[in-house]
Amino acid sequence: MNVSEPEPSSTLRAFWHGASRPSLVAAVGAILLGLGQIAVAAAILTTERVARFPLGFLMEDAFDYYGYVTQQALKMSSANGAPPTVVLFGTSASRCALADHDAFGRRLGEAVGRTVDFRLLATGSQTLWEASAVAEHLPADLSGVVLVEISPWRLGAGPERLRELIEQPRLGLDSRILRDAARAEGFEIPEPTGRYLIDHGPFLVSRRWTLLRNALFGPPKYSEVPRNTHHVVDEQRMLETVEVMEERMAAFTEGGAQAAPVLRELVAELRRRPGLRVALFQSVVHPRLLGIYGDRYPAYLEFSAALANELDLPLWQPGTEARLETKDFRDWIHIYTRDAQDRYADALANELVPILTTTTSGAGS
Amino acid sequence: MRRFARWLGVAIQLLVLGQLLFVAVSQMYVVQTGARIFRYAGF
Repeated sequence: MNVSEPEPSSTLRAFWHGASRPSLVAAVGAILLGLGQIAVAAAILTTERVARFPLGFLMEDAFDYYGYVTQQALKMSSANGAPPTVVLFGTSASRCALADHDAFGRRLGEAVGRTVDFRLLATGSQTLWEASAVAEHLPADLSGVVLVEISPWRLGAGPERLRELIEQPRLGLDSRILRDAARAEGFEIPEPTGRYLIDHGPFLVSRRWTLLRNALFGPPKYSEVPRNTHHVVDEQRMLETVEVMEERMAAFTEGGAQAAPVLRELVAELRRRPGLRVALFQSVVHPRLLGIYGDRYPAYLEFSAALANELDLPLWQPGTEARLETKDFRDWIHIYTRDAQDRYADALANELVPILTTTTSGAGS
Repeated sequence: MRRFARWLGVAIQLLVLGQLLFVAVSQMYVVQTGARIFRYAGF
């Protein structure tokens, strides 16, 4: 403030002068305040503190499953003594196939005679690297079953997909498996510091307005199924998007099962938890795609069966068991009829209950 | 009183500029990193 300036004649004018005239005190103070807020946020937002945020706090809306799964993983990592748990890693196809997740968990609990915690940790187009990142956060004493969805697309995901995940992470989770894979591909990935803002800056900063809104008005209500899942895609749109499915299969047939090593790492990570059993299951497949894929789908099935055998894991096909038909699908990937969802839940539960029974009776893996 | 009012004005200026700087820095970070909340497009 210029000291040679004449004193303002009224209190209001003095206030206005102070607020509107350039001032060294205000300029330095503003820089300290602005940068200080960032420094304080970086210092106090540890991973442990973020894990204590109310569930849903990182969600932009009811369908932000990346924020939801991130928080679930962080919360599970610090929770010990959890009841027998069934965890499902998968994509939106599995999320839509199991529409009523709470009812599915209750059903499993009734079948084995004790409370079963069912955690559907599926996210849209989830890769096996992302599943691994979540798996690394499961507590060491967790018991139960982990279900891992596989598909040509999931097993065919290669370095390009990995690059996308590194440049624009969808989950805010540290992952040794992802770091190792990225370094093997030549990316420079620093070790995590434990400071969430530093380790997951893009994930957290992209949610800055979401965090503010959720702090003021509370987190959004979680929706079990994605937006528009009851809207059936018309034939024109189906024909327009069949290329997407072709590309997904091509990722496997042309690129090979590039993500098979990630699946091996994921299974090894899960097996570090003695109370957990692991099972693979095939993603649902639209009956029309079987004709479009031709010989490629049986070849994929043969490969995935061999891979499951190598890993000594059961491989289930709940979609086949549920006898899914064209009319059950709203698009190429997602089933939407309640009847189909019930049949799918039946098929999955039929496979799951025997293995869950042995696990909860203390047989372990 | 006038002195207090002037410093109150400076404080208000400091707070507003500080918040704007905070928002600007975070926005620059978003632009630089391409950070965004991923939305699964589905079909």
